[in-house]
Amino acid sequence: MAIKDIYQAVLDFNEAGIQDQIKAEIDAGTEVSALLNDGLIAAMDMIGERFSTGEIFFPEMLLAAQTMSKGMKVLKPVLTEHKTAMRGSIVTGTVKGDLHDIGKNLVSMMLEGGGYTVINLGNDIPVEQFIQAAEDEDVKMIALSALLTTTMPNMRKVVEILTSKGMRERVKVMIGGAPVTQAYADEIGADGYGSDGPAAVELARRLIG
Amino acid sequence: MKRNAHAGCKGTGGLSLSILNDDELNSIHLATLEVMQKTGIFIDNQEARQRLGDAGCDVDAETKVVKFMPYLVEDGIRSAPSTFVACGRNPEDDVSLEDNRVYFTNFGEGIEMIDTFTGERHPTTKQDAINAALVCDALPNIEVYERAVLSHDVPQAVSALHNAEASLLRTRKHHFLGPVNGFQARKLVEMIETIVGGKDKLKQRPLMTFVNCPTSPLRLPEDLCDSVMVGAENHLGNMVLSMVMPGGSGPVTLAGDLVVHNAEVLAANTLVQVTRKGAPFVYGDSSCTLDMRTANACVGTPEAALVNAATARLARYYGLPSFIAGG
Repeated sequence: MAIKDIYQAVLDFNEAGIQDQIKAEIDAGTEVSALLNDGLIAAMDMIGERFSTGEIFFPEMLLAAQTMSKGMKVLKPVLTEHKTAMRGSIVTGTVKGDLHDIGKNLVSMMLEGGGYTVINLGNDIPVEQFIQAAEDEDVKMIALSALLTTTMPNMRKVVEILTSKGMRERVKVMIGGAPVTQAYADEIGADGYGSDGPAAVELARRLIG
Repeated sequence: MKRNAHAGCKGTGGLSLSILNDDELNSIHLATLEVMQKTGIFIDNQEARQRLGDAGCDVDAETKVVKFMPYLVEDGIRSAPSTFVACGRNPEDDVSLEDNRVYFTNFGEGIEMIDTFTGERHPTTKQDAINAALVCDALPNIEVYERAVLSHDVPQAVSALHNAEASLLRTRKHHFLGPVNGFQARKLVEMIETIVGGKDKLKQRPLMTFVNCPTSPLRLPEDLCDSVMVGAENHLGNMVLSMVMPGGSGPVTLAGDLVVHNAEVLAANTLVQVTRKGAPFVYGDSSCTLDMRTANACVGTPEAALVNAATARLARYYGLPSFIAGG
């Protein structure tokens, strides 16, 4: 029942109460990995599903992500103590020449909700900075965003440089943004395309587990 | 049947939406001054911060936030001219923007096109920009030209110059065109000087108005600041158009959206006026709501229409010419 309460707290957007609830669970000896996986992450999966079916919209998704993130603040130190592994790191950012970041930030929050460690570089990010960030062994994926048709070619460059540096095996690439399509992902050799936050999480699960 | 004119009859020409009265406009104005002074505007440009600081704004060099003294904002509104002549190639192509005179322009900036002959959809090219300018030149109901489509097939570092070449040579009408950054803005000035016959002639025949957009909420990006300063220094008009999205990059309430919108545009005008007092400025608006389901900017919604009607009123209240999206 206890983990179910944490799960429910995210679905209820209980930002104010979730930290105390998690603290109480930790004190009661509930397994921390279960709190993370069956509580917070499972709830965010449900939020993603509800978003995809049109039951909830962005504001609700944001509220849930904020609640999850509050909960993670309490849980993270304990997770490190128990050596419970996160799902790996994902570097996110909007490519060079592009200042748009609402969608990219939403995707970053949802990926965090999915249990990944997200390194959000920001917007207008040069190709080299993505590559540099991905040199960290924990980084399993780069998620690139673009809203302009004129900045999309920078996504291709990231894939090309990763390939030339022999990093392509270790680092997956997913792309997204209003003008971006699956066809474009195929064309530039990216591993996948996500149309929105939940789709990005689903894709990350498929590509890096 | 003959219908001669009535004698001594007052008539109303045209149609207008006065959705805000003077008291309401004043409330929006006062709230804007409060936001500009207390919250401030993020000015991502060293030179612009310097100029605003010298004029009397409170500049925080570390956070790059500039707090605007209300008198500076109001001085700026007063020193921007109420009449703006959008010059075409020849005096008969000129258009006088002032008060509530209404003109139409084409849409910009399109990124895809359906080919007239093959029916195929393709990313727009410079040739499309050339064709669009020719069509706009021929249409009498389009009185000023806005760069219509993007040239995908040219080096993007100089895309504004290609856009300008495509249309300056094909339409006599006044140009509203985004210089993208200071470098291209300077080159555009040179292009226009070449056309009109030198620096002094440009003062008399400024064929182009620069278009720039703030990054909502409350941020003037580096390139915008560079471009508007180049425009003001070289006697070209500046149109600054905010696209704040209620619920996305601004308050979800339309009154709150108007305040944020107004603060961004007036901050840009203040920068223009401290750069060169009396430089022409056009109040721009393309604010529209964010679709909470798809996160798309919805350019054609009832809310957008209300905001568009309100910003047109606001510009008129300030005695500034405006350039408003038809939501």
